[in-house]
Amino acid sequence: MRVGLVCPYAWDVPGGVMAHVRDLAETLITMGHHVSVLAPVEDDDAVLPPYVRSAGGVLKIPYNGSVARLAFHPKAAAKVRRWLRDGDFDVLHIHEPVAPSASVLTLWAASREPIVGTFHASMDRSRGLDFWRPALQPALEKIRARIAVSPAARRYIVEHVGGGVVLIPNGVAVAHYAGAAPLPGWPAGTTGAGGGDIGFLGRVDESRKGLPVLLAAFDRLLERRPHARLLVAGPGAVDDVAGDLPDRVRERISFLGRLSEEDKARAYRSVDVFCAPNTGGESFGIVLLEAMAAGAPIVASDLDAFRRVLDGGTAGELFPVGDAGALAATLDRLLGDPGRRSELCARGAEVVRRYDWPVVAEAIVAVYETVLTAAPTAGR
Amino acid sequence: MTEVALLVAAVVLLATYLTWTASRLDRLAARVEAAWSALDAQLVRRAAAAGQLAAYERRHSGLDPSAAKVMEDAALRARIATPVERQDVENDLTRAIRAALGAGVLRGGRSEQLLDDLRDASNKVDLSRQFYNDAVRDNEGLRRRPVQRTMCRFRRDPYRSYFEIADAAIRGSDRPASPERRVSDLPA
Repeated sequence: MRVGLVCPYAWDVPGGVMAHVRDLAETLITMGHHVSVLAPVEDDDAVLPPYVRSAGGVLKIPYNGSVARLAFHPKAAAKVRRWLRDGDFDVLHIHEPVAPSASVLTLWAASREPIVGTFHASMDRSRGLDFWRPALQPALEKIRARIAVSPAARRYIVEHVGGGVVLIPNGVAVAHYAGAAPLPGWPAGTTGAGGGDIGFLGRVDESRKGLPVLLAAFDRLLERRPHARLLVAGPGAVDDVAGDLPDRVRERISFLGRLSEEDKARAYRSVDVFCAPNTGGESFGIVLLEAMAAGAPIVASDLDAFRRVLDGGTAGELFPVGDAGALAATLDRLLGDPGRRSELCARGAEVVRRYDWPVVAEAIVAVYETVLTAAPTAGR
Repeated sequence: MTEVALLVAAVVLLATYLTWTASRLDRLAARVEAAWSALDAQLVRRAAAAGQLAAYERRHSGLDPSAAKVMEDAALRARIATPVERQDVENDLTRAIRAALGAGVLRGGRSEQLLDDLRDASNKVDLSRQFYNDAVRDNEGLRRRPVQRTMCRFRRDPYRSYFEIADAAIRGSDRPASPERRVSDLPA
């Protein structure tokens, strides 16, 4: 099958949608399909994998609390048309189809290929789509099959766009995480001797990722476990969140900054407990899947999305959102209970199998096959 | 002079709008037809797979013979159903498949292959029904608007309405039939 995938966000800036498109493309290629990805590229000198075609440079637009990098200009439109002509695709799979970038440009330009659209965002706080929907309706009508990656994204589509959506969850490349080697010196293996290594992954200066909650909890944990360490992986201004910490806390924390894919997998393998203290705004919880794939026991905020990914809370310990005291107690208890930790690992490994990319990609291919069943009469 | 220019501009705008709307109606009508042919094909595939599995199992006794017989009959009726009875007959087939799979444990090489075919076809029945109903909904949404409704009087698109059947997917834990959603639960 010749599949054209469209990613609206810059390929060279790590992000959830981009990672999804990349993993899907690579899994489909392994399955023997021909795949081409169209994505904006921020840095002209970026080295792209052979299956990626650039949709041109990006405009930076502040949106929903972060900066969206979008290709929405005449040059991108021309690149979209050329890509469609060269690609001769059996099926077009557009991610975030209404994003004002390569996605909506492709939706406008495509005329022949059956189109599948995947919606990622839940965007509870954005009224953007409601405002533009009348203008986008004709383009939305071209989408033959709609996929949502989370119940929150599905609810968003049902309420704001109307109609049905197929739920196919985000995938995770389980083998990539399960096989990674821990970072040198981690974990120290001191859980039985007043220690224990805890991991965090996410933007450090984005408050809804919850690092301040974890830092407050970690401070308290050190009273009970003076040898505990905290591994923080993720981009952002460290001084904004850690500037006021006393030295005795600060020196127990390693800030690793933004990590490569390789090192990210190793970081998950380097801790005794992985913590996701998010305070909201999460529609899926991909970090939890990655942690489960890496075999790290999880302590997470009791958010709907997290509870669901953790199979009703059976594959991780949940604590009340934003409650540093409860988090400290939960961490302390779990670090002192090796039996419970290995139980959570085993349960996590079982849960994450459903989200392994080969399984998820097969469900997506079933959608392609279903829209293609109709293709011969579908032209024009 | 200005009036003439304005009139010409208005006519050109109107013509552009009507042409564009007509192509939108064309596209939606084509999408509905395509989605219907996909749904039809998947339903036929499912009936064929169910019939083959039932026939095989009846001979090799993996399934309860009476449940296999019911499934085979239901599959046969699905193949020859008229458009009017189709939704009910397909629901009957879903129930018969569930009952048959709940009644007997399927094992062994060949029937496993046949069961995989049935599972895949059932899954795709659900997908294609969803995509078809979405297409119908988008189509009706547009055709209800006044200008489009008038334009549609001059078109000869076949009328297609929602196809409502209960979920067909076969899950690991399928037990004999449970109460199904009724056909009368149609969206208004």
